[in-house]
Amino acid sequence: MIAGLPAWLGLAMAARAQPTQTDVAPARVTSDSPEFCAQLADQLREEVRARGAALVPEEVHMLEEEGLKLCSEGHLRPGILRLRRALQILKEE
Amino acid sequence: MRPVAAGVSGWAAQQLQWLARRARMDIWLVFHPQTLLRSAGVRFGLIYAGLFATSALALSAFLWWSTAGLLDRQTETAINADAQGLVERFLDGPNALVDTIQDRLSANVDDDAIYLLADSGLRTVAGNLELWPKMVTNDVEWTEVPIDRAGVRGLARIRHFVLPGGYHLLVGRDVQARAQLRRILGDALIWTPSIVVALGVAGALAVRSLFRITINDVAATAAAFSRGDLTRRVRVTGMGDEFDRLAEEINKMLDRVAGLMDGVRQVSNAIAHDLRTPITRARARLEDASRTARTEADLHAAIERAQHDLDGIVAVFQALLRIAEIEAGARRSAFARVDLGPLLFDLTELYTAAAEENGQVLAHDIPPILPAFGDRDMLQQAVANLLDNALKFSPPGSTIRLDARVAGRMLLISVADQGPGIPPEDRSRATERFFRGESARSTPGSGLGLSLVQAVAVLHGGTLRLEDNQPGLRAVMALPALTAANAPPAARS
Repeated sequence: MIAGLPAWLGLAMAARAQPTQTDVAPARVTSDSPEFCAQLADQLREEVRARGAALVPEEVHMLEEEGLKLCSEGHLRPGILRLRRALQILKEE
Repeated sequence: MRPVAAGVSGWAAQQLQWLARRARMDIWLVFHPQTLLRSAGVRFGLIYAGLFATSALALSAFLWWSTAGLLDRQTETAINADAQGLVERFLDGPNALVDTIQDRLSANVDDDAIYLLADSGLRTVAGNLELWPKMVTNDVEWTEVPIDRAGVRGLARIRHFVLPGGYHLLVGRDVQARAQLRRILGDALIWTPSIVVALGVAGALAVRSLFRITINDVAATAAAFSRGDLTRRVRVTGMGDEFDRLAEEINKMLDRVAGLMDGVRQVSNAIAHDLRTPITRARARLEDASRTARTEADLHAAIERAQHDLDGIVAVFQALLRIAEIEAGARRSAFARVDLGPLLFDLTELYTAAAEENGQVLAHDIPPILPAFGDRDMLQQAVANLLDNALKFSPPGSTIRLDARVAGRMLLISVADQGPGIPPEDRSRATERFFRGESARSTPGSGLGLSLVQAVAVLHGGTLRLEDNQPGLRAVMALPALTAANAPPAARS
């Protein structure tokens, strides 16, 4: 049992180890920014216009509205996620 | 009074100090590694704890491999599949790749994709990383880089590709959730040894206690037995486990030893009791002759009678020695194939004359061939003892039967008389040495005949059964019949 403890602790430390260097500045992900949210919103609007607003499912309008609202309130990732879902629905149509 | 009180308190203090020193020494002796390892209970406990810890370690490793390890492998597979499509797209030119990256970022509903296309100067061309991570150099293929997602620090697993024209492509996935899972698993693994050690020690103590209780009980029983308490037995819990089986076997052994001891005691008592009478009689005759004999002929007659008494004693001892020899199994090596048919015929011829002299009839029903495996002389002696008893106890005009037959795998030899028989309550003791029933008290004999028959039957793997012949006694000796299936090699040859 005692002989197995070092192996065990080694496994535990390896499992727990955070490989990121805390002294390295993280790379900013630009797809979580208000600019990207606006870019997706533009893309969605163009797609809706190209298909005709009346022919687009109601769910797309709802997701677009929710996404823009969340982005404007600073909840960028959930807002962007809704816009992406709206685009995905349009592409699957 | 005061000096006395002071002396007493000083003595008490010295005693207390001595006791404290003694207790420290005892504790050190008990917990000394060599003392501990000398205990089988501690060794079993340690083995249990070791196996428990090994099992827990193996389980943890498997858990890790099947959770965090699986997620790692899935992430790398997804990155490779994603990158393959992008690299192929680059063959149509950098702009085609830029469009594809934009499309994929727009459609990334899992919100975990990381892309970066950079030119030869590592300036961003497309993708969702603001700058080229400094830690990703030309020689790095796989790495994990810290990322900042809307102000929250995370981690991305990334693969680096060098494309024609000096372009560089990074394809990756946000693995922050996986990193958190790793951390949780790591924490669990760090705590697990403490829990395993605690449970292992508790289990080891339980195993040791169980072992110690059982062994202590066996040791206490053995000690009590050796001190002379033949009634003490090992406790059987009734769970039917290995300890119970051990206890039952030990108890059987103790029963057997106690039975043998009881037998020895009975024989000793019987010898002292039964032989005292003929010895006293011989002594009295010699003493009487020395005082009252008037002629040499009177003295000779007294000596002859005393010799006769002493011959009887010698015969009893010889019979006892023979029974002991038979019970020890010393003659088993002399076993051979015996045909009991002719042997029993010879015995009927021999005893018919004696029966006729007593006005009795000896009838028989014996098959001509009765193959058996054993000692011919002993078997002859056993049947002769049964016939002796039958003739001795049967009244004139009665019939004595000697029958033999094969019943299944046994060979049955029975001698039935029409004498007083043995009451049912005495039958189980009738084969004990020197046992003589009430009806046999007035008949000459030593009380060893049936003991010898029983010893012979047991030596041959058989039994002796005493039954009511209504009237009289029927003694049935059952022996294993010799067949082709059970014949030993010596008998086959």
